[in-house]
Amino acid sequence: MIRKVLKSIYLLALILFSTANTTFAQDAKAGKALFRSKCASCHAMDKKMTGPALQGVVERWEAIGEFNGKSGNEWLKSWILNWKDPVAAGLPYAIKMKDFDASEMSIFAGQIDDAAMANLMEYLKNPSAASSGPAPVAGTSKEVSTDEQGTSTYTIGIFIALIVLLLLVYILGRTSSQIQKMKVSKEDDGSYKLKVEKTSKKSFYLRNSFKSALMLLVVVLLVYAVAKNAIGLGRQQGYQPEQPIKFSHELHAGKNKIDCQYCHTSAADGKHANIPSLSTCMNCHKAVQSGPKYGKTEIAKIYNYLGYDPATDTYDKSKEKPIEWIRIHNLPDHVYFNHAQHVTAGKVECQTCHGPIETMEEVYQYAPLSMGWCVNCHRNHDVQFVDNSYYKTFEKFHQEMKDGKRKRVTVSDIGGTECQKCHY
Amino acid sequence: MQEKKYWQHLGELNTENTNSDFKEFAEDLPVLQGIVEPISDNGQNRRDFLKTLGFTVGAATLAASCSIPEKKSIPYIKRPEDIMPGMATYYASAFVNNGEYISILVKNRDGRPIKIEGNPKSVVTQGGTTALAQASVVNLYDSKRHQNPSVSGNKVKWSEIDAQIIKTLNDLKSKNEKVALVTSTVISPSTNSLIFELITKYSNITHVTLDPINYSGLLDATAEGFGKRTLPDYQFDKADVVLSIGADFLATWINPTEYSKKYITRRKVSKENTNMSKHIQVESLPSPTSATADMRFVVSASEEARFAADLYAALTTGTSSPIKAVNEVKNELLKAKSEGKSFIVVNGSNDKNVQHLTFAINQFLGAIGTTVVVNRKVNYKKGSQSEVDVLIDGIHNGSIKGIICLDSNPVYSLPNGEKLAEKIKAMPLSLSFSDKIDETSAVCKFICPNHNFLESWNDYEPKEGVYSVAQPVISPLFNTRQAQSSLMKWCGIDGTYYDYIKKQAQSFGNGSYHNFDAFWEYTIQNGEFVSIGADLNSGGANYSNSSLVALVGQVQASYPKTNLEVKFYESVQGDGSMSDNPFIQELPDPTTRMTWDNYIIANPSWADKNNLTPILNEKRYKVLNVKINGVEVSLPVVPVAGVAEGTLGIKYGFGRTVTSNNAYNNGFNVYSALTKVNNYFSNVSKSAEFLKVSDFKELASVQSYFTLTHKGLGGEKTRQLIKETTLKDYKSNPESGNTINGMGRKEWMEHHLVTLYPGHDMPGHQWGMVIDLNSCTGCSACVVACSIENNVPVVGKNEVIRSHDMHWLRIDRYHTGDVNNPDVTFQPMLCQHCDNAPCENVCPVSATNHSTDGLNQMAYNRCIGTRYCANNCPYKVRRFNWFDYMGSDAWGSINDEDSLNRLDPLARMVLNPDVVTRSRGVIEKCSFCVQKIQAGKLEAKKENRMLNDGEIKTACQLACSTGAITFGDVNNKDTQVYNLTNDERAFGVIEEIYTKPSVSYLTKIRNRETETQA
Repeated sequence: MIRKVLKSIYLLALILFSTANTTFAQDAKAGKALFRSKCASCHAMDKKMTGPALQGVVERWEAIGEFNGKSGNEWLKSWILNWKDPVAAGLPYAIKMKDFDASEMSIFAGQIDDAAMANLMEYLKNPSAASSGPAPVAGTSKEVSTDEQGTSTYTIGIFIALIVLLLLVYILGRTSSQIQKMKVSKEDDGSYKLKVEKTSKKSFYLRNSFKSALMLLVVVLLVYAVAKNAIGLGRQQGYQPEQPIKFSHELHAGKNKIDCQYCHTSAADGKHANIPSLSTCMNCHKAVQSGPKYGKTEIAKIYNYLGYDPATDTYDKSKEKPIEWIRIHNLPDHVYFNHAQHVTAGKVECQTCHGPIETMEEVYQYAPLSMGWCVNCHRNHDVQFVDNSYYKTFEKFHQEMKDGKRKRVTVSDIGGTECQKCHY
Repeated sequence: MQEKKYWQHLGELNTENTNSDFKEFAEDLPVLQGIVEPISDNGQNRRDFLKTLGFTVGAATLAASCSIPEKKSIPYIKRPEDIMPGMATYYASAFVNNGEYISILVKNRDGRPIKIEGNPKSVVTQGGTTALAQASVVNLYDSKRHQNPSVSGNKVKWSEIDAQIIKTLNDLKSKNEKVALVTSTVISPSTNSLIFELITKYSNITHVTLDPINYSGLLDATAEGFGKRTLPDYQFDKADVVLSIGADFLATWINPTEYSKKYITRRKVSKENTNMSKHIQVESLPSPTSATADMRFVVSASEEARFAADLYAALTTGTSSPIKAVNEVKNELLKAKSEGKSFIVVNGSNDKNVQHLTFAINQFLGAIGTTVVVNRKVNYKKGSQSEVDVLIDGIHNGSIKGIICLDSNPVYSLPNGEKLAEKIKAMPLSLSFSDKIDETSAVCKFICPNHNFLESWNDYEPKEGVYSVAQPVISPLFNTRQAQSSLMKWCGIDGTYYDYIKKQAQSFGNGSYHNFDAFWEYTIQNGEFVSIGADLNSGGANYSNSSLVALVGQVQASYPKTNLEVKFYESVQGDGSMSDNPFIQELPDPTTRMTWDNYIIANPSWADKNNLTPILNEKRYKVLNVKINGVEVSLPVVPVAGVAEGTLGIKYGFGRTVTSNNAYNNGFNVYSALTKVNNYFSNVSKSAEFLKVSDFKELASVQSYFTLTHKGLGGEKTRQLIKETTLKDYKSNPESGNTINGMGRKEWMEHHLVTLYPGHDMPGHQWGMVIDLNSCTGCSACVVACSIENNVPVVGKNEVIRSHDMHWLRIDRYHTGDVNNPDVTFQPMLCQHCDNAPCENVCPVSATNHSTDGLNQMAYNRCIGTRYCANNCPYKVRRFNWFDYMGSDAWGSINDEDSLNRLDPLARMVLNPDVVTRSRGVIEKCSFCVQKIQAGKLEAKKENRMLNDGEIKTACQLACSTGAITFGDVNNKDTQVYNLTNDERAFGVIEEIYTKPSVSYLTKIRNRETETQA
């Protein structure tokens, strides 16, 4: 009996711990996720990109020592949230770093809370700590990091309650089975005696209760697996098909720092971020006829598609054929997505959805493009409430801001998580 | 005062209690199924359910393990400057159907025309459209068009067919054999010039202008009376009193778009402007125009035809007429004349003498030169009866050896078509330019398929002084060639038709532009160039006719009253040239609320007397056999309130026999029974003989279900769905007529409405719509526009019979008063986007819910198809996808019973990419064109500005010629829609149940003394 209950406790615990494991995320790991979603578009740990390489950044800032009563560590956090603050305060190191690159660093104030900042700092201090285990999915990572503390206390509470309950089950179960086994027998002397019957020992694994528990477990796991897979139907995060031309975003956007919208011109105004027409390629590749990695082979493909002969600098229209790129980011038909809405109106960086595209030799789908991922961002992202005159319509929110009742207006505050904002 | 009783169909009228025959739901609701009845009697049980479940899970797993389908993304080689992928561009062009001209803007998405809007810059149609214009874009994507030139049914090269035709033409010329070039009205100056060149080169060719529905009587009367063969330039905006004798000028007559625009300027009533015109309609059959009229007089078909004669006599000599209405109209006119009012009188007759008398009445009333202007040439119709007579005789007696048909289908649109077809077949030269499969091209030897109008360059001169250039919006889809280019080839003119047009245009000079190129580009971009101003809108020639007195007697003698008379009429579905368009076939006729078929309309009591009572709820109608002008006709009879007793009405445009799809070939071809009265094809039958009544036939009616209940809560009160008043009452009290249970609306609302539900917070916009019942003419352009904009499927005749029509916007028709002459009111009914929506509360999965900008949202992919919402919607505007009408299900279609080519990949090119197609098993409904709202908001955000009032327009609003629909942000107090929503005339339909609809209606105002028809 004791063994039976113990075994069920063991089995249950096994299931619960195996699933609950992920909720106990290490700080550094959550920090890495945050880094990938917010910082990686401009920063790498080991190499200089738009921003400086961040290996040892915490140590470098701590080396500044105290300034204006704040430690170097504090100043780094302040810089991350809004780099203009330490510059305004006159921190010499900050003033020096300000001119690191022509492009300014984004402002993250209001997007990274204290808990998330702690995770991020943990990661920056010790990037290798986060490398074990699978990388968390972007987007959801932020939720994990912000709710970290709340979630863990909650989970611990549940666990304690569970253990107490299981103990109770054990005690009650034991008592009940004892009672069942008791038998009142009449002694020869007419008195009654309570006897505990000894039953034949059946192997634990052959008992019906074990079998049913096992079956239940199998069914639960199956349903879980089916549901999880069904949700993922049609999603293709990480999709990285081979393209007709080995075009490197790492080279063009990363090393050569060509602005995204130089080629994807309609991202700012149109529904689609267009794939550039071949004439756009030729703006540069009429002159640049050889690349660093593949030499002339890949660039020659452009000429082929165009019917262009670099030797004579002539076009043969009859040989023109369009490039059939393989589309990576696919949304279902019932979703309306508009690039201009996000790029121009929402001022969302390309990297927020497309990931560190300037480090991708071959492009892959970075974000899950799931509804949960979309909605999360709509909940957390602020609209350009003050900067864009369109939002003057929302007089109520402006009043609330004036009265100090409201600090921010997110996409979801103006109805950005309602069905018919994307589904029509 | 007793409450007025409104009814939508006769079943509602004929019962004591309005509700006993009331059919809110199309079919019985299975409320007791599963409780007292077994779930299903076809053997479905738990095991089947488990099997299905197992299959679904299995299929899903299988699908999950499949590899990702590869999708291609193909960029331009060289991107055109003004095209941005995924964004729409608009190009000005023109829609011309048998001379009826509408200036349009074509919406292009990624190189595909997907929608037609009115061109607001046009001086002629001012942004208005018709149902036909809206639907015309679908014809472009008809894969059953003539795709190649062919000789005797064999596909040939253009060069081959050219050689053969030129040879045949020259042969015929050398033999001096007559060849007829048959066209509908040509309003293109370049085409006219080409025709002239053709006739000059081949002197044996004569040009015959054949309008399917003939206006030759009017044209010839103008020619005789004014010395100029043209249509009069009618100025409806300048008339205080409009008298129409059988002319449906707001929906079908000549150019309803232009007339509606002008007419409606005098019908928009507000507290500031009560200068409303008075509209008197005299007719035998109800029409959209008469629904808008203030006074309507019902006369029989023959009386309608001779009405002008009697009225003229009564006005000038005081002769009394046997027709009672003549004296009443006379009194009205004389009274108004003594008050110094201005008049316009129009007549739908095709009898030259009748039109003479109509001009005479206009002259008597002082209308000539002010409202009836013959000054500039108005070119919409040019057809000539005498030319057509010569053509018919020539074909029959064999003297015409060749026929060339351009935009014309004589085998269908002339009487005795089968004989004509035989004769044409035997001709050495029979040639059709038709791009569509039709009766004439089926018998022609040579088919030289024309481009669709969206693939062609053309120029038009709808009126003298207005020059319009129509530009192509897509490259030709098939191996077709523009007819004009063909003519140029055969005349030996080099160059393209575009060059030809451009050269012709040089005669206009540069306008006010510094050079011709600037002028040319401006004209193409704007669609129209106006060379002569509005000074031509009045004055002009004077009418003179010395034999009027003789005409009176002649007309009266020509139309003897008989027991049974038949009138042929046109509905908004057109004259037959677009009957092969599924959207037109499924468009409910506003006066009968019928789709997909032809029928006879008759007076209800006459029908009852003759054993022709239909079973409305079953959509079964008795078939009547009747002999009209010697032709036997067998059609079901639809009793319609307001039809003159003893008069039958049959629509033009049906009875096609050769089209791209058998589904379009239905009903009876009226043209085959046309006969002449006073030498002109007459809309009124010369003879009609009642033969017999035979069995029932099902008709695809949309009126007998989804009706709104008049029954109030608890059944004790009557709900008022339509509110109307008279101009007199409105002047004294703007809220007159706008009552709930006898109390003023605003007061009642303040005292009676309580709700348990909390309201919705709307911090930004709150979208709302106002529909002016006074402006709605029932023309139905909005219905088609809505369907095309929102990818609403056409379901086919059988599905409509099963009450499965999908229109998001319908036009409800209400009658009140005397069944023989009721007042008719049209009420466009769409999702009311209630702020307290009954549908939202009952959805078990919250697939329909409310947005913070006041929209009643419908998330199709969340819908599980319980249809609770549709059943709980008091407005009956939710539509259920019984089948995969659009082929949007991943597993393919299971239903295509009418083979309407919905799943044809080419036909699908017209779908709006911004709106998803709905799959089987989900509810859909009007979204207030949310895709346009979102696009409008984005445009404002991109330009860093607030939204302007009127910037966002819904599809129905854009299509409306009379501006009956206003849309905008009710939260913003500066908008037009805010002001109208708070107007005294505004009311919500059945708002007394506190649905808080976002759509308001403005009371209908009739300019007459009494509440009901006299």
